Amino acid sequence: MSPEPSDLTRLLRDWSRGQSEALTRLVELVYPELRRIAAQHLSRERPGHTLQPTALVNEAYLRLAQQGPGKQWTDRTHFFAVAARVVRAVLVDHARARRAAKRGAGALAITLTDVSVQVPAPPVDLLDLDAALEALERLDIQQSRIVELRHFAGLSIEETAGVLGISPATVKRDWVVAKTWIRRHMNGEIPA
Amino acid sequence: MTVDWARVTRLFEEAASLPAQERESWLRGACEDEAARREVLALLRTYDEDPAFLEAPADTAPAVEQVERQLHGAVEGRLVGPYRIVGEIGRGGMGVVYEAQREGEDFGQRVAIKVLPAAWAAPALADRFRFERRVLAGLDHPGIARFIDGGTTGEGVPYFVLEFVDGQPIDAWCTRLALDVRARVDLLLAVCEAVAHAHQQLVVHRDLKPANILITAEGRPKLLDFGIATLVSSDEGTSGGLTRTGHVSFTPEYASPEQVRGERVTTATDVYSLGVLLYVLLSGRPPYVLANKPPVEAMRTICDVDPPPPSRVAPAEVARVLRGELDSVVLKALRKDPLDRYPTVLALAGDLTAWRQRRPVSAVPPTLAYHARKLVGRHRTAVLAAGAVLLALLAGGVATAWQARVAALERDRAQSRFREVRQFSRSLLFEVHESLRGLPGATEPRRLLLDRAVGFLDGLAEDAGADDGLRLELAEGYRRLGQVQGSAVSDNLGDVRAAVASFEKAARFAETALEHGGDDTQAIEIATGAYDDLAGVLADQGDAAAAAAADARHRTLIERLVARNADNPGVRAGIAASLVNLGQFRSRLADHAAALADYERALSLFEALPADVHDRDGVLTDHAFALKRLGALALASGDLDGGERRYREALALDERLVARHPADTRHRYNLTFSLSDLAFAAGRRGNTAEAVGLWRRALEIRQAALDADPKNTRAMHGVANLHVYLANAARDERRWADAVSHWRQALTLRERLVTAQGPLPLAVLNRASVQAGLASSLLDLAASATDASAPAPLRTEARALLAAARTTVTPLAPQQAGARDLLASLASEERRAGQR
Repeated sequence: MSPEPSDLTRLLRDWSRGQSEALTRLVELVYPELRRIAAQHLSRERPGHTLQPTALVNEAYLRLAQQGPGKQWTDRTHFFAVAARVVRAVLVDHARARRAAKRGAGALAITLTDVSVQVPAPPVDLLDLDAALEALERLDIQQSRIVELRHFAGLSIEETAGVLGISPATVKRDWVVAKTWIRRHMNGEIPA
Repeated sequence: MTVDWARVTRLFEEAASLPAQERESWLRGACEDEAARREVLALLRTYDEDPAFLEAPADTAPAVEQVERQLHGAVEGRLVGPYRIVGEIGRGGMGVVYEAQREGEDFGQRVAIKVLPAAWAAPALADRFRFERRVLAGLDHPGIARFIDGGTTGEGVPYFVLEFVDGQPIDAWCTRLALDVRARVDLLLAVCEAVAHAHQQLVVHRDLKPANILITAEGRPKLLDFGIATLVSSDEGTSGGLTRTGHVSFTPEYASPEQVRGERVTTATDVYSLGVLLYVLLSGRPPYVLANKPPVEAMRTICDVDPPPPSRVAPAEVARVLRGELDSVVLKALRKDPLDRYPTVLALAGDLTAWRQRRPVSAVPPTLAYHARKLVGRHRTAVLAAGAVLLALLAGGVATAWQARVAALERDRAQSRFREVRQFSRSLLFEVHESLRGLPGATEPRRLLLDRAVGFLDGLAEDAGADDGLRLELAEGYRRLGQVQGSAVSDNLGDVRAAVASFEKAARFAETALEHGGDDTQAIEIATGAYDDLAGVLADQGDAAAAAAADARHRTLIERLVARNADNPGVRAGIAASLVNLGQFRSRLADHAAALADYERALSLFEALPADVHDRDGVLTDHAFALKRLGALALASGDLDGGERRYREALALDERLVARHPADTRHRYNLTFSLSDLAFAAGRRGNTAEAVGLWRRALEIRQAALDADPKNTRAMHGVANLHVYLANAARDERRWADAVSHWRQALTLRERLVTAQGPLPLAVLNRASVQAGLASSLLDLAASATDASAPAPLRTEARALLAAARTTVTPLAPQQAGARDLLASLASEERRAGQR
């Protein structure tokens, strides 16, 4: 079951006015919808198949937009911003829980650096990414938003530009610089 | 951070676009701040190490389960009402199910507790929840997991307490015990009984699937999860009684067309899901494969694709048992239209019982009338009145049905009669006729239907003095009638003369409406269409002057439309389609440059259409047609690559339509033009084998269309053409006997066309050229014969064919250039035939 659209609208408004507890509540409200869609996708996909956030977020938006008398969900910008934030929060929590579990088991992380064959991109350490994003937010809030939308909501350059109301060229430039800076941050190359 | 980050961002962008070795020196020139330069260079190095970093979006799947658990918190040992949770049983879209035990009892009652998602705590849903609780409490049947209690947790989240069922899903049960078909049918009968009980309590399950039907150790089914069942009330809705609209989740594999469309859910919805279940249990396969399909595609499959009979997908030994009656029962439960399914679960159970007792079942294989009804189903309300007539038409009892209808009409007062007849005719013209298009074998019934409908409207126009709305309806009606009578570009009966008369009437009515109503877009569009078709048939008839006049009027009207409707995508799509026809007309006059201009203008209009308009069936068809015309021009000018490209693009569009409407013969037929011309291109490249393969594929499609609709002259013409191409290919490969055989088949059809169309110059010429071709191949065969006595009869037949051709072609020579060319080639064949 989905939350009442009017609740969402109010919370979005509160959140955009800087009430951070509104985000917590939004996560709770939007999350079940995202989860339900995710579960449906999971049951359709082959095991091990990754679930792209794009599908998740777009579908959630469409569904929520279709409910209720309509007007409330015309604000895509807010929705995508929230959805990206929700996905980020969810993934980071998950990673934190897993890391805690690993530490508890006393596992030792071993990385292989000497890989000669083409391998899929190693999964990004989400906790490091989260910390880097927080630092980037202080440096350039627009760039951190772009990374959030691109990576956690899976939006394309053009979609991101549409959501933020800036040109695709700007998004592209900021995206490349921002993600490169994040990588340096994650490598410990940015002095705190 | 001391550096100016905005500046770093700009410098990075520019530097990244330069070759690596030039970056450092460029930076030194562009920026005097050393710290900023160092930062940019460091970023560039990092970027070059792994440009793809972070490009892949986050994988959200692994976190989903984890967080769900967090949201619900650790629940084991928690008290829900008087029940203590023992463990989790499962989770789904509608919540989590726990196993629990009643507190304070030594052998506490084992129960299942279903806790709905947290969002249900919303106050607005509380009423609904209470409502559903009452409903569930009313269900009392040994085949349904008993509802025990319900309440809300401390956080306000609602839960249900249900009888705990220790069992196995029905599909796993059947597999584990390797049950035979009869045992599976028996099990399903027990399921039907439970569902029927719920229906009697006005509860529809809506989500019947194996996971919700557990079989206990005693082999008895128990239905679970009436959690999304909804109370249905008998006063809601008019026809089936038990209906209710609403948006709920369901399982796609078991969902009915009405569910995925968000339409009314009725007891017939459960009949459908039971049909899917039956299908799966009997054949071992689902009726549709939905995995990996995007949602829209899956929806289309559920709503439009007829599943194969279960016997066709079942293992051979099972298929023998299923074939026939069980196939029919399953397919009847799975009909797309709820009204075509079993009216009740008990009716389905009745047929299953009949099968078990070796009595005949009520479900019969679908008939032509059933198919027609199914097509018409989309326009149910409008067609209700006309349905009886349509069925009578198809069954052949035309006159009586019409007389009955007319008699009834005459009893009415004049005023209401006028309205009724008009509405009736309009529904025949538009809804019924449209639904018949594309139905194999429908050409003749379509003509009958249109003839009658237009006749009625015409009568009204005479009696009552027409208003312009009626005139436009008449114009559209006559246009459709003309098309089915004899428009070469659609399925038609070859009556070109009648078609000309109909199109002229259509044009006249539209012009009158135009005069009165001024520049109404709809009126112009209808007039445009009438002239478009009129020009085509007049040209077919050989009346070049009249055709040119119609074409000129067509062009004038089009420009008027263009001037007025530049911003209306629907009208733009129509203009584009008209331009293609205008181009085609110019092409016939051998004005290829002008034709090319029209086609290209059309193409740019199509390409600029918004996606939703472009994706309409008619627009895709027209777009594909424009591509084919361009392809044809390119091939004709020797541009094989360009031509092939256009045809491939056209093929892709047509194939989309075929996939969308597998039963619609028109789209399939449209493929053949691309196939045939791609074959032509292959032949020109010297690849005769490929060409023959493509022509044969096209032949198969067209022959099927002709077999289904033997009076359809367009298919006759199309099949004849392909035989001609194949005959020529055979001749190129010196397969003389094959060539003769193809010519003979082409000749049979050309004869039939002359009979159907009357002695039109084009039909006569076409027949003569096939006669000449057959004669020539007979002479080839005679020359290659090893048996000395064989050649004589071949030569005799060739001479007779040539003489017949000469007799019919000679009178046409003064007006027809084609006739003069043909006479020349006849002369050379005659010389060959005359040599001994």
